[in-house]
Amino acid sequence: MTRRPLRTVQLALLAAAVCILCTGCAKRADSMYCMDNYSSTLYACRKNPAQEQQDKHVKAMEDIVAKSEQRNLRVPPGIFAELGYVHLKAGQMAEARKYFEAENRLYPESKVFTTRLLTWADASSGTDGDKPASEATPKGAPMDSKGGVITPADAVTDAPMLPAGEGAAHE
Amino acid sequence: MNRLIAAALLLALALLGGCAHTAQQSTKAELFPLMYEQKPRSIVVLPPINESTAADAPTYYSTTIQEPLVYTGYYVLPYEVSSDILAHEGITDGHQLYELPLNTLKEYFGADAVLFTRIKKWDTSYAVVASHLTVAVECELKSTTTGEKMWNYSGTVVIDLTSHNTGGGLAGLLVQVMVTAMNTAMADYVPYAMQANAIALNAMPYGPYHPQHEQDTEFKVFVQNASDK
Repeated sequence: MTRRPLRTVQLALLAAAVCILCTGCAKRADSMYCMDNYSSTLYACRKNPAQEQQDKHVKAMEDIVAKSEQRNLRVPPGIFAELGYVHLKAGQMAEARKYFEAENRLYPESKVFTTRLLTWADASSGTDGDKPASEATPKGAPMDSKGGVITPADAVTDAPMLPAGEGAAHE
Repeated sequence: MNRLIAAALLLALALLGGCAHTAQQSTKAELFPLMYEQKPRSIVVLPPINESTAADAPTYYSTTIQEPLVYTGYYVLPYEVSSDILAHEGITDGHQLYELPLNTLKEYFGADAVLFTRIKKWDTSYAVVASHLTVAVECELKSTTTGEKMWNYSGTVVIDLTSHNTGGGLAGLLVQVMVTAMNTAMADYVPYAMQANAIALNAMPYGPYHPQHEQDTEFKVFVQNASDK
């Protein structure tokens, strides 16, 4: 009587181990999310940052969104945010905004992060967007907590993150 | 019967975990109580610290960690975005943040936890037929609120890169050698790197998006006798 549960647990563990060995976690993975070729296209991008590779990675992410919706799965964390970031860098602020909001809605954990990205999108919507280190101050751009103007590239360098205790107030 | 199953299980897990010479078994709750107390929901992955001789290792690691981490059930900040932001801050290596207070990451990214990784080894050995990817990493998941270490992994994973060609005879062997050589030369290790990362994350308690979140406290995990032990 006392031996039974133990054996069941062991059997289950064994089955799990064998399963993992055989499928490389593919089964468990499929039921939760669809991540498709995400890692492969991302690696290709990093390895060779040509436009062609970037486009493939964006396509892979768009496919993930489409397939997830088709299969009634939650779009995996980060996909919407990363798509938004691609559009942000390309100066397509309306698109960027749409994606950041989607990430925010789907994952409340992303609130601080997506709010920050949205602030950048707003700040640069009146400008070219992807002009890093531009000295020009966009007209009517929102101010950050220190009174500085945020643009996507500048924002990162402006908003102090490293000096302890000096991080932009965000709560 | 019981003993047989236990032996088979041990063997399976030894294979799974690569060259685990000595292993001890504990439950997730015993090993990582802080994970169940603090219940982190979101993780930001820092650029890995590369101590291996492979220049490619950080790229392989950082592009293949997100997927298994997401499947473990956490909200993971997209590495492409977070690492870009960190790079603008001059941070390209997790080492730069190692000694710093982590609450800035909480304020900046809203992440509950931060994943530090030290890549000790990332080697592909190439013998006549067999070819292996050996990955040795030390990972630490730290709380951005308290700075405490909530989870860690230290171990070596060996992945077989050999294509399982079952052709017979010398011709079969030659084909296999050629295919193995090609596999190695083409260096598309992404699936293998992902597998190595997934194995490293095997002992991490499941996050809030995993169906077995908070039901895995009694799950047994094998811990490789690490160098720090």
